Amino acid sequence: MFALQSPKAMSFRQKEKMQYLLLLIPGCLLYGVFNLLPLIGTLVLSFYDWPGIGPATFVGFENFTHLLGDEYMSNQLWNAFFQTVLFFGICISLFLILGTTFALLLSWNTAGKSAYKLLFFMPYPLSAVAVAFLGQLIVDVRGPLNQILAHWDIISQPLMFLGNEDSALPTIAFFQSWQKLGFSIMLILSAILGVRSDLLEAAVLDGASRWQCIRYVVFPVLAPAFVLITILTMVDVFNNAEYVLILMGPDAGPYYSTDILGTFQYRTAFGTSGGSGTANLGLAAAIGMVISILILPATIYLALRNMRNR
Amino acid sequence: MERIFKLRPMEHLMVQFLLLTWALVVALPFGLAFMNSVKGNLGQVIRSPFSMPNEWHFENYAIAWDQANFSSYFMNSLIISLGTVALVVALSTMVAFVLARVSFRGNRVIFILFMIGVIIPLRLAMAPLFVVVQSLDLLNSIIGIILVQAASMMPVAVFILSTFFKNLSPEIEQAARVDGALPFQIYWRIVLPLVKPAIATVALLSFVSAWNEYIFPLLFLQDRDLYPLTLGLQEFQNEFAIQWHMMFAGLIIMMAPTLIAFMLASKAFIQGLTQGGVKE
Amino acid sequence: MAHIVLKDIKKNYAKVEVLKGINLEICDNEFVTFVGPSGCGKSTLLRMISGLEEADSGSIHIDNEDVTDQAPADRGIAMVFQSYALYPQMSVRDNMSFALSIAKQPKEEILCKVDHAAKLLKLDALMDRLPKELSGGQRQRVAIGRAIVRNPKLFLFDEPLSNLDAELRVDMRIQIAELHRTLATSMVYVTHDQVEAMTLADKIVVLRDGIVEQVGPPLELYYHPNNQFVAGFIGSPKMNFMPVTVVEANNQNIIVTIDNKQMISLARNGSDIKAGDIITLGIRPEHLRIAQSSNTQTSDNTYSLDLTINVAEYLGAVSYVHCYNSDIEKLTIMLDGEEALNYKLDCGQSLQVELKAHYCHLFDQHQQALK
Repeated sequence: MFALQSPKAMSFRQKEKMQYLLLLIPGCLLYGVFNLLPLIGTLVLSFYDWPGIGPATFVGFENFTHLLGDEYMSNQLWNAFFQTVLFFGICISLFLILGTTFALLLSWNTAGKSAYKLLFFMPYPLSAVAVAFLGQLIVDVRGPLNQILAHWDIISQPLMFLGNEDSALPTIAFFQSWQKLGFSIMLILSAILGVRSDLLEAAVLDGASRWQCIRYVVFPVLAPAFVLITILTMVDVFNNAEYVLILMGPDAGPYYSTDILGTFQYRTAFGTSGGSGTANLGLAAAIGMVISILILPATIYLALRNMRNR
Repeated sequence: MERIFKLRPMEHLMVQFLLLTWALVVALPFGLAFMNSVKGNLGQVIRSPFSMPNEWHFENYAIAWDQANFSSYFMNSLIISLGTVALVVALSTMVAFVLARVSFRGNRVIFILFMIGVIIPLRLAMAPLFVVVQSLDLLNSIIGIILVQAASMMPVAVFILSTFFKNLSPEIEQAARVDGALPFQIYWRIVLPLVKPAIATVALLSFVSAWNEYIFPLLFLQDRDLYPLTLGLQEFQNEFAIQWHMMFAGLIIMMAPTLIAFMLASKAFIQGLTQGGVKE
Repeated sequence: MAHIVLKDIKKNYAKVEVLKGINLEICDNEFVTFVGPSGCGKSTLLRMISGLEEADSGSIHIDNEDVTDQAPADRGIAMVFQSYALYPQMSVRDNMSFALSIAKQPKEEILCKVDHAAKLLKLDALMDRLPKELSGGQRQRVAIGRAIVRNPKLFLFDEPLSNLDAELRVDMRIQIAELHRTLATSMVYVTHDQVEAMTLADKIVVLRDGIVEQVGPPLELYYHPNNQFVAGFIGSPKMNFMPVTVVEANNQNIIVTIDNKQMISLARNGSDIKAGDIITLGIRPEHLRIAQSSNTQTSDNTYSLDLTINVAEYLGAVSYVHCYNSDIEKLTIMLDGEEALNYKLDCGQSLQVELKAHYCHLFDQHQQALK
């Protein structure tokens, strides 16, 4: 296609083609090497056994059978899975219930709407680290939260929110919800505001009360927003384990009670903080594949949605 | 909604009550953090976290900055984030320009490949990513982190930008071609100035994302000197875990840039993040 | 000044053949218009000439040089777009200087050329404004100015006036005609408005569905259309068409009838049709007259039709009378405005209309003209 000529002798068309190529390649290269390649690599790696150093041996589906069959592994897997689902459940309930409530409240002629909106969204651009530590300090046994509860005589002894097996996961889930609720509120709010005013006017003329209006005119419109929030939260919770990793490390204590799929994968890949347990990147990749498959319907939905927007 | 639903005074009160409750829940951590960050010692914090400090010990910040190495953490975060933003903006605008405007065989395929990156987050591929970075000898380097973070943001950036590019009238570019402009010139002089809003959105998203990034630095950086704030805070905790007031000061330092950016450009922020979040 | 030859240009878009083999020649300094309905391929053809699109087969020659593979910038052409395509972030002056600055010409030269073009188009006062601060007509002139500055061999216009309102269009039309005279450069102009085509062109190319229906000077297309499509397209208001039955046909004469009673004889070559065929008779509204006397046949080649009036429209300068009868669904007559006032033209009234054989056009079953 390119004859070997000096640039001056190149025709305009050729110069054009070359420049387009030069514009395209750097970005594609960056993405391809550091993003796409690893993604494909996960698929490939899941069929290998590889401790990270040394050779990788092809094991076919052994990783997967090991994951599901071996008691040690499968216990962790199912534990992590159920806890991920629990985590997700807490988050989504808060997002949908509180989100809708506050969105509704903000959709009316409420005083200070803009200020509230700003405030509610403020935690969103913070880093997970900041939120995690902030949360940790607040729920600490000697921290403000326990102090208030004690002060109002709600509890007699300080609670170990993060130290207790049963409360650790919900607490962390609450941290994440605290940070991300603003997003749901904004999304639902824009859906509410998008309701056609003539529909509402017709309902009012038909004699509907406020709650009837909300139930029959507004809520149906919220369904797409709810679906979107559910899907996004599912993808987020299943893939990202930052809060747990930060607060509890890869071991997801206490006693794996905060272990979710993300930490499970990390631990399998890079070993635990104590140094015990061997790293197995192939197995970790297999876990990654499992996670992908679990949220496949969600990812396909998102993909289709984005394609349609193109 | 507003016209139709005016609130009666009673309801107004209820609404305000509910909103204020959550507002408190949201604001309290910030407030507590700030107030306690200027207290003199830990005792004050523990004894009465809700009270105003007697004296304002702003030197806590200075201590954190100097002694606790926060200045270097901050600089690292800054370098990494700005580097990421620059790289993402530059490369994604170039790629999006070609993908949106030039028809060639494989255009669709490349676009779909980028879409895959939008849908499947890089976090799933930590293991192979580690391998790639290691084999390129980029472990434990700022450049490595910048490259990885930039790569993880390319898909969303390309997506947002190509939507924008597609909305540009093709005739302007055609006029430029007839005028004799080469692609670089069209890109630089004609098209880029026209997509400034989209570039701003991408820059904002990339900055916030890079500033808040935890996993990638965790995986790839070993030298404490290279730690960004996200990792530095953990180091900080190891040293100052007991000293809550210092912890709060450190947290405030970390949250400050994004919070200030948020205050200044809240509309753009909310729009950009919800857009980006929706795309993801 | 440029001599352009298009040989057998074909173009497909997603399996649809948009251009089916176009052969055209444009001479030095000619003003050629491409007209046709939407989708006929006229814009595509223009863009082929410009180089913005490539033909699937065929060749384009400018001044005897094969430019089929050349990029737009190398062809020495300038183009004015329908939406003006001004660079939004640049001032008028920068817009007009852009191409020259790409070509790296010295600053003083650029300034000189830009000022010259600005004076020509009376843009002096607007040089520092941004496109969004200009009116539609002003933007159009800037777009033209941008093209002039490059001193091209050939100007291409892609429906430049469609976005302007009617009054402005008339003004701009005149300006473009003046421009052609001043610059003495070949111009190719695409429009769907046949009025623009008729007034501006030295030569009109009528396109439909990717083929050239007819090429020729405006009045030739008006008086001697080659087929029914061109006949109906050129001329406003549109030519009247009615189905007629052939009574007798030979190579010198055709006799047809509208109502099976009156015979109309026309001196045309009818060697390819026979008695009983149903063909089409066309007559322009301006060539019909209201019968002066009640004679049914005044002379050999004037025929009279009985019609009922549906609606009469009075526009002051002209009037249109829309009529019908049992054999003719619709007939429009154009009358001089003042003359129309002499007649009573109410709905439902009978009217006798005269038609002269001389002005009739005949089209066979394939819509080809019989001459």
